[in-house]
Amino acid sequence: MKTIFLGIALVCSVVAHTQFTKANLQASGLTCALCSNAINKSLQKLSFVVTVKPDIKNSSFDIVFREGNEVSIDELKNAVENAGFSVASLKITGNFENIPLQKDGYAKIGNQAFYFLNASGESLRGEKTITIVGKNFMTANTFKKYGDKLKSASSSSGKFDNAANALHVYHAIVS
Amino acid sequence: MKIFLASIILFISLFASSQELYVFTEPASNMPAGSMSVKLAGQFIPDNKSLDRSAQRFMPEIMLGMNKNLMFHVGGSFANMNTSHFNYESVWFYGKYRFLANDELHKHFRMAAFLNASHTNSPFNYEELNLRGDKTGAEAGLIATQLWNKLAVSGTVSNIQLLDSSRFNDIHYAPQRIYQAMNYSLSAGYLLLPREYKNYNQLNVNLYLEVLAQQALTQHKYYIDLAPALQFIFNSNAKLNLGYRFQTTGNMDRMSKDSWFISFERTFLNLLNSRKAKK
Repeated sequence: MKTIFLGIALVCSVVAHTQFTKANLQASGLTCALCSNAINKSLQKLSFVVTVKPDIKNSSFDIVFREGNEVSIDELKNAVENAGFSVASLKITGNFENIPLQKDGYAKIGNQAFYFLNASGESLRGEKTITIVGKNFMTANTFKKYGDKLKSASSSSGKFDNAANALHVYHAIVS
Repeated sequence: MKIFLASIILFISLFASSQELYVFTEPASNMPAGSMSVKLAGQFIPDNKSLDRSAQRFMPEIMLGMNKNLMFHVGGSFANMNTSHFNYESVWFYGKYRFLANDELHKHFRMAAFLNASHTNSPFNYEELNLRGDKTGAEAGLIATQLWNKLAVSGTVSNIQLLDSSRFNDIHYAPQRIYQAMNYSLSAGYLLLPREYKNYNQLNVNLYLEVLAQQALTQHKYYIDLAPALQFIFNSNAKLNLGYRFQTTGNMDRMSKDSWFISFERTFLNLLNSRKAKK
């Protein structure tokens, strides 16, 4: 496992010392406290989550991640969907160790690959917040506005076709 | 009839803030995956002419959220409604599948399909088709729920088929019996408390108004009931419902034209999900 991980890190020229520290997740399809609590409890159950601070009025949750644990964006999304709702927005903050953002290039962070829509050659360094964009991470109305940009980006299925590994690719923008 | 429906719609539109945890019907939304609810409901019919006494029915029920789209209920009833002595009456199964969910911020439109089946030991009395103790049968229907920020309205349409043995028995066939009907409902809820959400421990108080109608398919028999209800939610995991259901118009022969409902429901979240091992 570790050999494959290092191999991919060399291929993508990315240093794997980046750590996601916290996130703000806003859910859609709910107003009531009972509904919010279902999402709250579902997020708390994730192994890489330390604390969840809910804002019932805005249907949003401030999540703090466990240091050293791999953060799974899919598990965050599934926690909300299993509670019966959808993700309206997901903004993840991390300490990035010099990740170059090439135009039309993928950046690998941990075990997940990202395609940054607004990349233009700069690097991700220090504490930065990225917003995950895509059909399952925004409301239907917002997705319609983004639609064209996401269509032009490659890999609409979300899978990075690599002989060695099929990684889940997330589209993101730097906030 | 038209004036009645118009006034109901007007009444519902006056509701400023709302929830969809209806007392007499189910919304199109589903229970959280891996959650379980335990419920005990009681129905009380006051002393009336057709019964010549008061009557009670107790209904324990277990509800399970299998995944985000599918849930099942299993319940039973113990009563002295159709019999002079209090004893076991019926068992039922309910399944709901949410097949559409369009979520926006503080808004959603959802649709679900449901199946309901019950078997009762009660004798075949009255014309009303009720699958919660009175009759043996099956029901299939559709639910649509719309949440607009502060207003949630839900509508249900279903078809009930009674499967009492008399329906299929040529010797004991009773032609005046009603075995088929359509059920319609329109529900709305209003959030009375809290004025502002601060935490999960606040007491939530909701006021509901539901219109419940039934129309027989083989005869010109029907009823339209109004069912207001009050709901208290504790710690975002327990509900206490108090409801009163009464007929506004109709010509169906029923055990009672009004009844009282009280129920208590406790929800357990993440019960069926195993906690992932921490690294």
